[in-house]
Amino acid sequence: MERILMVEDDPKDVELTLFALKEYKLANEVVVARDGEEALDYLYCRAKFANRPNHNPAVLLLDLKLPKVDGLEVLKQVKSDEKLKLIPVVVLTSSREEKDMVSSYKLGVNAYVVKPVDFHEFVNAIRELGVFWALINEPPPGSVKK
Amino acid sequence: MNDLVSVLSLPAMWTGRDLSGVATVLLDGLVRMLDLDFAYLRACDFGSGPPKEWIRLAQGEAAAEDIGRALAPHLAHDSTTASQHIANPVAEGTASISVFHLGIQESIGVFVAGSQRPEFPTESERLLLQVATNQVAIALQEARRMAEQDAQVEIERIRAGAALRESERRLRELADKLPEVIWITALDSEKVLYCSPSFETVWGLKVEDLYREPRLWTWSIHPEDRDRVVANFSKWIGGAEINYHDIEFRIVRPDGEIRWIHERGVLTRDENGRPVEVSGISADVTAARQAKRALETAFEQIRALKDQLYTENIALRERVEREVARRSSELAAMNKELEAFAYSVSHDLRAPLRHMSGYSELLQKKAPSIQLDETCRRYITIIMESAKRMGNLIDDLLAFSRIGRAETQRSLVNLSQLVTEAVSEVRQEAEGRNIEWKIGALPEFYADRSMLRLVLVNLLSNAVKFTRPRSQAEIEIGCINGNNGELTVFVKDNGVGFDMKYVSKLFGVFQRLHPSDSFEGTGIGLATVQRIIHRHGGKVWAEGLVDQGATFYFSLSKEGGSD
Repeated sequence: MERILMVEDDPKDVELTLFALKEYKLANEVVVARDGEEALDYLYCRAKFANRPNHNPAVLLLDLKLPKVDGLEVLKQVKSDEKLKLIPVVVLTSSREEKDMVSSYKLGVNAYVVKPVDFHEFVNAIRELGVFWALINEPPPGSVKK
Repeated sequence: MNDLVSVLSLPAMWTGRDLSGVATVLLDGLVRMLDLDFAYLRACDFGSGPPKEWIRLAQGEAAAEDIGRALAPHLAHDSTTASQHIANPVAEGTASISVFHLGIQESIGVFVAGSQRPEFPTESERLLLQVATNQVAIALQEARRMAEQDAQVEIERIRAGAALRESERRLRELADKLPEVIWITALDSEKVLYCSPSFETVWGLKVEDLYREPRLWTWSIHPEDRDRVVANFSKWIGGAEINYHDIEFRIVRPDGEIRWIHERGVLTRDENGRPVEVSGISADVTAARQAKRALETAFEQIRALKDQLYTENIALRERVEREVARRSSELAAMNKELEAFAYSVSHDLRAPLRHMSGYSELLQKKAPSIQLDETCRRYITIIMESAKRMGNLIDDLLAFSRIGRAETQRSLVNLSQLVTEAVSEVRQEAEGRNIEWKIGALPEFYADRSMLRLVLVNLLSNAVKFTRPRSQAEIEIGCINGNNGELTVFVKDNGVGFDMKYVSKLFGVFQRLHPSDSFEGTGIGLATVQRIIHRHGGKVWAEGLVDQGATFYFSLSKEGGSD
């Protein structure tokens, strides 16, 4: 069962992220949604995810700039849904815009991480995130457990 | 005796009469009193005229001239000595006459008394005649004096009349020549007694017509003014007190021209205080009124112009405000566009860089297995470094553009505290370095705290960077109190400095004075500093010498200035 839901439209970012998580054997724990709609489909177990076991992911890694439904909209829906609001959400974005950061925190994001350009920094950030949220952090009830 | 009394009472009879009257009464009295047949009196001429003669007969009629001629030969002697017997000049037969010459120093006349009686005059008759003659002389003299007096009075009267006429002539000449109309009206007869000829110039009417028809005056008044003027006039005439009147009104001339008249009049009253005459002077004040009117019109025009200017001013201000509003919204739109641009730069430009960096890294990790040589590994390193450098550039550019877009949020900033924060931020870069920090007394002032912090971080970071070759680096931060409430803050270092001929390039975006392999940097730091200081209404400048350090200054007003 995947513990990490990663919402990312850029396949290269997906690949690099998975590379970073591989070292901690977390790559297989990742399910990728390519846009906001797909992410919501996964969370609500509908469309192509209709048959998946009904557990919440341990963490949601969310990009902000996404096709169809953008990251802030996904965040808003998650945090206003009784069943989903306990999922820890980490915004993982290229944007250093204060506006985005403020909006995210207002919507109840649990962490806000700007993707470093430097690969080492990027890998470190992803690893730390993965380790913390998927391994160290005790997820709320109803989440996928290790 | 009775006769004497009668004679003595003669003067009473001639009182108040003229010479002729006196003579007639006198002769009449003497004929009656002395029982004479005739009495003749000739009075000498008083002035230039012939002598005057009077005759009185007891019976019948005769002309004085005829008797005078008959008596003339016998008048040479005065009868005080003797009487003469002559042919009776008034009847048949003879007559006795007594001749008396009148006057003491000069002869003023002759008196002859005659009677048919041969014994005439008896002694008592002679006495009475003598007394009477004296009376006659007195009477004549008196009459003559009276006549002379009358003549003098007449002369005086004539002279006075001439003076009066002269005075009147002068007055009339004045009245005739004055441009004002002078007039006198009798109230009882309602006749115009006098009106000066300028009436014809002003009213355009004939003076004779006015004399003939005084109501022309009233009729000529402008219909709109007539009631007012007439009422005013009636009130004036009817009042007991007011003797003077002063009014302005319009007249309509026969040619249709309208003129303004300023009329002032006085009342002449009789001894009972009843007004009898009105006299006055009427001036044509049309020109003055027109001038006044023109002045008023000019004033009105000025006022209107002022109002118009005011309105135009408002319109202009509104236009300016609209224009400002339009520009503001344009600016806001541009700002929004810029924001969107910056956002997409932030997002989309960094992602490929991350990928360049990431995949180069992955390639490097696989290097041993794919047998990459040293050169290839160096190439990969260069790609990675370049990507990282571009990432930094983008970050700095975004920060720089954010300063231009963000509103400055002024608050009271404690500069000492801010410097402490900035120093601790750059200390990381200064690790392992020997830097002596000199921080002077710093004030508080109004500024945008986070922006000012960025200024200090940039300046201190530069100072740290460019003192790197120094084994003992010195960085000093201080404040100079300037005039006009200005504060000048400086950051001084003993670093590599710069050539003053490039000073103008220091603050430009992407301007660098050092090769990037000596001192890393994006060339945006000082541009950011300048932009922030300018947004605070301040100034920024630098001084330096090659290899002898640099000093960067910025000045701000204590109140924080304006955007």
